[in-house]
Amino acid sequence: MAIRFENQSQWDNSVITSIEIKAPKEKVYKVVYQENPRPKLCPKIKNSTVVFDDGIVQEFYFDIAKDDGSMRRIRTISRCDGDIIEFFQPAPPQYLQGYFVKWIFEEVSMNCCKIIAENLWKMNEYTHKKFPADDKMSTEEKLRQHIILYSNSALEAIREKVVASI
Amino acid sequence: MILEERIRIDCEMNKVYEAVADPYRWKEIIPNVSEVCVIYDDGRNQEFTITVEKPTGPETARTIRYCLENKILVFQPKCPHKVRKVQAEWIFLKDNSKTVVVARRELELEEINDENQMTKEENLYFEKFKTNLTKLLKLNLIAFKNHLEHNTYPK
Repeated sequence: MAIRFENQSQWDNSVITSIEIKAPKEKVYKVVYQENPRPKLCPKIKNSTVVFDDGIVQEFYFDIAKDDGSMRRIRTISRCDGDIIEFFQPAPPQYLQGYFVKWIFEEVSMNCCKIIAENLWKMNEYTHKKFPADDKMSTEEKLRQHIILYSNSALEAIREKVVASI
Repeated sequence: MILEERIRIDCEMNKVYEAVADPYRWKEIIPNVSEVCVIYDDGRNQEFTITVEKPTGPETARTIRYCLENKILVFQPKCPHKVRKVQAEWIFLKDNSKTVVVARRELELEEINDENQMTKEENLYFEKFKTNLTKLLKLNLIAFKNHLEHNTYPK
């Protein structure tokens, strides 16, 4: 089924997470770029296959372990543009209409790089089923926390890869 | 190999941009586009297939596009014969109340690092390829110009 935002570019929400890594920016970018495909950085990824890679745009499939132990296949298209690596999922998780991530590589000092992860998403009719609101938290906030966790685990995995490569 | 064509359209830049950025409108604007099937479109990131009627029959290409500020980047995972990489760009330049649209294609040829070292056959093939692509770019730009300057849509 085609996914098309009716009100285009109107993401429901966004969150920024970041990490500082003690390594030169070029080194950090190179490690992330070479970890093809990028999802290898996420510990939950089990298999990944690159379908297309022209050095700028990359399309790949990967299997990710769901909370119930089953696997879900995700197709991702990423774009590397100098100091930015961004990706979107043409078939996002059932509970989202769209999900878009941008990693911005920023030089803090000669030996320190900051990765700023900008996450944008749009909810759909299934979001409330996946993250039902309760007394403590709304659906929106639960989803937000879920995305923060996912984003931070990817950034932490990048740091581990960079440290291991030094 | 870089090809570039441009046209000035008597229309505001945001309307020109919107027309190019909306895959469905290609079907109504470009005469030989017979089908557009959007797989994903969040307004910035897009994936769709587009079918073009050619003398040899219909040809469908999967396209990935990024609608950025004042430009649209286009990638096609399946390249034409003997082409390793195609990168396309639509650039929108404001010219008072008019818009200049630049259609740019950058192609990397398969196993050919130096275009001066091509065989005669390769030369002929790419000359024809270049001519056809240039013609296509011009036709597309003219189609957008005609549509935006003379068509009543969009109000």
